[in-house]
Amino acid sequence: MRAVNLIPAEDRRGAGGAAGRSGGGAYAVLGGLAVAVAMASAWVVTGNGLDDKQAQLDRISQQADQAEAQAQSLASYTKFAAVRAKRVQTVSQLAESRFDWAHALHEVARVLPENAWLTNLTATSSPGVSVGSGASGLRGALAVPAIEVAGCTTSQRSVAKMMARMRLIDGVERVSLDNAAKGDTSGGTSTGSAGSGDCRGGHAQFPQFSMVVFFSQAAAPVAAAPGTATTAAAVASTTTPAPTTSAPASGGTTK
Amino acid sequence: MTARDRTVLIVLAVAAAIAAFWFLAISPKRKDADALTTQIQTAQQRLDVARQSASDAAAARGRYERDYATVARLGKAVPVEDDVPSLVYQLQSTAQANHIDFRSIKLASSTGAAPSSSTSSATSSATGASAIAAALPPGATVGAAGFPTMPFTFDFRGSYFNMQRFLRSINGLTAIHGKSIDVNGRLLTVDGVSLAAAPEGFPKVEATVAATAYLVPADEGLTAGASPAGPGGATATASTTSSTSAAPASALIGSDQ
Repeated sequence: MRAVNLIPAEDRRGAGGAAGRSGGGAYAVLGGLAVAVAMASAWVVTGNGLDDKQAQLDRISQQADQAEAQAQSLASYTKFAAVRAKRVQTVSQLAESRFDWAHALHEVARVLPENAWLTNLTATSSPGVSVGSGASGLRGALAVPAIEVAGCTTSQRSVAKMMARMRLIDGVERVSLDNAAKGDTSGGTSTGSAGSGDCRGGHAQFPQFSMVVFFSQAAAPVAAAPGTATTAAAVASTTTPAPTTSAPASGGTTK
Repeated sequence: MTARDRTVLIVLAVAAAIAAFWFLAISPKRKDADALTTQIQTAQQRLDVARQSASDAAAARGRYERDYATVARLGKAVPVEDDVPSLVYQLQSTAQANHIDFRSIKLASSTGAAPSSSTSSATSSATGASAIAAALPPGATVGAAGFPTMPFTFDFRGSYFNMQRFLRSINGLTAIHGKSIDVNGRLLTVDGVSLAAAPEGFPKVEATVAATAYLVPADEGLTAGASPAGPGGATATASTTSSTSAAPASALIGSDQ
């Protein structure tokens, strides 16, 4: 016997399927509302973020304008400070780049052998500098500070000693001999005329020399040397000037 | 139309609505937000720079008096004019203090051939600066350091050791002590020294000294238009220290900023 459901079809449980009797319209409305709320929220949140950023930008721009206006109002002070810094820097560089000739002369006096005497000393910071008498050809060999010395000593061996002593000067890079020549012997006396700058003092066997002392560029920076007077006096007592009898009419010796 | 078809259509419609909302409403705002973020970063950098500039400017104003004094004192070392009377006075005083006879002073060259290596390229940097050169004192040329230079030749007579001390004193007129500049007079660079025996013989020597003096660029002026009252004030202060430095007082100038 076959069972028969006597409940009307529209009243039975689960009638219309999962969508119910509305056919899923209720779910669609709810879903649409949810989507609308989500979209509205996104719109509001994005808009608020935009407004916040705009406000932040306005605030920062305003602060920047104020700071720039303040800096601009004091720009002349900044400019003057820059002038001051530049001038101090330039003067410092110029002062520090000077070669300490005083120290170099002190060193020459310190190392000069007792049996050597100078008739001329020319110190130049570069080959292009022209001061005093004409420079020797050797001077242009190196573009560094150098001292050209000319004088006499008692033998060629002493000339070699003179060169070795010159190398003891602070900052010396090279000592180059230009010439060292004895006089034209005639009975053992010098034939140099009185006005020729001959410093042999009548001794033809005494060589007359000329040499160039080259310094390294960075040598002997200008600096105060305490006790200069004492040192100089000590040097004066230990170095022997040229014999007064050898001083020619043209000038004798400088050291 | 079946229920399934309706569902598919509804889903597609919602998706289309969401996409349209995103691309038409949200996406432009996000782009605007990104642009604003970039602008904020730029503005923040501008603010930082402006604040730093304002801070520096305020600091510069705070030390203005000290800076002005420094520049004015440097005018003794590097005046705006050639200021030869002051130079002669200082050399004579220094020579006398070292028992040296100051014999002569001569402007070495007026052709622009600077004597020292530091100034040998002076004219190369002065291309197109004829107006500046025209404003220089006679005999001055623009040096490599930017300062006009004046080469002088001096003759002295004295003993060798006094001459050595004298050269040290010349350097001491403007000397560097650590980070400070000790200004007692003109800044002179001794380019060369020639010693020869004096007519009376040893120990007297005759010295010929080639030296370079420096000037402040004429267009810049001693204080760059500043006055004790402020950087934009009166401009008549240039001569106050450049021409009255015959008896300079020692001044220590710090080189710190």
